[in-house]
Amino acid sequence: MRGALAPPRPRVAVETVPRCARLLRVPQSAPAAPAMPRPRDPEVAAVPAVLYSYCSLPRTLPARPKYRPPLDAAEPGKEPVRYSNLMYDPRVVRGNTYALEVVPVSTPPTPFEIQRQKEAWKRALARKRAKEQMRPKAPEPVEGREHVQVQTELYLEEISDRVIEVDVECQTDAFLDRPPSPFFVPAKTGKDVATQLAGELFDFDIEVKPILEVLIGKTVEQALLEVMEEEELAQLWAHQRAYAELRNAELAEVQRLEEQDRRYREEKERRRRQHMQMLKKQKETAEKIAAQAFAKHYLADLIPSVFNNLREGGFFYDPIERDIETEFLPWLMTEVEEELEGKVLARIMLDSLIRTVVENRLEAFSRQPPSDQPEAPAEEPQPPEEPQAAEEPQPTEEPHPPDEPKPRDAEPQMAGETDAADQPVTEKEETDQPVTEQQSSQRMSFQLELE
Amino acid sequence: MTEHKPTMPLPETMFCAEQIRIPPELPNILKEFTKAAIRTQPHDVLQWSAAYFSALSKGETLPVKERLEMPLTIEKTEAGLTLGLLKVLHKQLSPKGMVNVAELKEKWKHLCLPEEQLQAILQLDDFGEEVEWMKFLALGCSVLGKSLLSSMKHACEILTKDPEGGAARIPFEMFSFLYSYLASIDGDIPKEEVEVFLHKIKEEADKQSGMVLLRNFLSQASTLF
Repeated sequence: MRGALAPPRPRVAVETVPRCARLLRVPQSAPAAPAMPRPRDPEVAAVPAVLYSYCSLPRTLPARPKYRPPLDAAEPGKEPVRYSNLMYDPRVVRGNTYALEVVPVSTPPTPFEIQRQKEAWKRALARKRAKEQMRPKAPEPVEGREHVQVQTELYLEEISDRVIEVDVECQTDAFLDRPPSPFFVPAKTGKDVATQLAGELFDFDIEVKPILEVLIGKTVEQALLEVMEEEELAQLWAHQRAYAELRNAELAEVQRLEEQDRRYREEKERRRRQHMQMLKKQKETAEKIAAQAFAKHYLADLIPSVFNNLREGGFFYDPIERDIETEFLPWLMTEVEEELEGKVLARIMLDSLIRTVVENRLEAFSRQPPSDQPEAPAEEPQPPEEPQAAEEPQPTEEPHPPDEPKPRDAEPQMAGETDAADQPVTEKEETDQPVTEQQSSQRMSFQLELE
Repeated sequence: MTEHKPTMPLPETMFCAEQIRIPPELPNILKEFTKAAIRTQPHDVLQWSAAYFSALSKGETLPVKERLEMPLTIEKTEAGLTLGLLKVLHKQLSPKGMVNVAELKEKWKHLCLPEEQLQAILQLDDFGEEVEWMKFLALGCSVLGKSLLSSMKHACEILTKDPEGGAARIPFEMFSFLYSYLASIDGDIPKEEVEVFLHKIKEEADKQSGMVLLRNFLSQASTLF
């Protein structure tokens, strides 16, 4: 019999609560978490009671240092955090996910879980024991006999669990360089024969011929080639330069012609401009002359008319005449007026005198004849009238009689009185002009006619 | 069998072709020589080669044409002076202002030019033992060219420092010297014309910083176009 079979690997006690459920579970153990701070997820303590929470919040893991920190290290955690590549992190699970052997989350189990685990373990143990007991065994030895384990092979074999191992080493020699192949010397065949010459074997002329041929031939050939090349090149250059020269000449000619053309054009332009200017000046001059002539003609009559107007306006006045007119004549007129007024007054006075005389006479005469009485009341309103008529100042230029014929004085009595008054008037007023007498008499007659 | 020793003294006899030693400079020398010969096309190769190597050994200017000149006319037995050859002479002799006639003759011979031509040229003007090179050059040009102006063209091409094909420019003084000399030799052209011409050329030259261009006095400046 071979060795015992390897014991089956013990099944790892998986936690009873599946992982996803754990994720979904409201962390009742959360309050316990702060009591034992988990170094891995300190954030859990801060997570509030949400529907979704992580046992460990996703975060980038820092690189695991390859070597443990030395014993006398400084405070751990002061070193800068190194992050490693997720792909090269040995801690990341690789491979298929459908047949994964899940390492249980080694959260520190709760006492409840511990107990459950213990129980599970006990149960498993019990199961195993039971299984062992179930295994078919050989029957018990009969009484007096004993079961002994014996080997029946030809040769005894020591049975042990431990396999005999023997270590054997083997090593090759260091490699040597391949030794060089030996010089191949073919086996000597043939017979050795010797001979001797009398003279020179070497004929210089013949020997040198090929050299000479090559030398001279090559030289000539090369020289020819080179000469041809140089010749061609020089020819090309010469050609090119000649062409450039020609072109330069042509360009110079073109430039010259252009210059000439430009000069001509400029000259022409200048001449044209000059001519235009001249024409313009001529036109201006003609216009000026025409304007001048017209203005002259237009204004020829201006001065006389102006003077006429002025003269008519009275600007040109003889100062003496003006003086006479403005001062002397009015004065003269006033004087004459006064004079006339005086005269008139005198006349009126005279008239009134005559009147009073005549009235007195008439009164004297009327006392006697009673027929003269109607004349007396008629006479009475007259004197107040006549003096009024006489006293009216009548400024006239010509010495008209001051008493103008009044249609009111339609008194037939007047005729008689005036007739009577006329005579003394004519007698007394000799200075009066006869015209006035005639006029007054005419006036009287007119009055008479009116009546 | 005769013992043929190579030209160079050898410490030991040679046995194989590999032992023949060629001087390292030899190929170059040969090449240059060949090229010069191809370019110059001397009638008498030996004569010319002798001149070449002697000039080379003395360090003088080599009697080599700069450019390969195609012979324009059917080759006579001994063709005469060409532009290229005149250039060669100019290259060789112009550093000296006055040239000895003997030397001139020698150089002439080296170029395998006929002697009569030299005599003819020298007779155009009376020269003594010494020849002023510029005058000789002018006479040579007059031999080359048919007219005065074409001679001047050749002279410009020879004397110019410009690269070939470009405007062959020479200073005005040189130009006027040559022109007046040739005119005097020619004798047909009156002096006033010469003066007028030179004056006109001078005007143009002043615009070109004192240099006379081919196109200043030629209607068709280039033979290539």
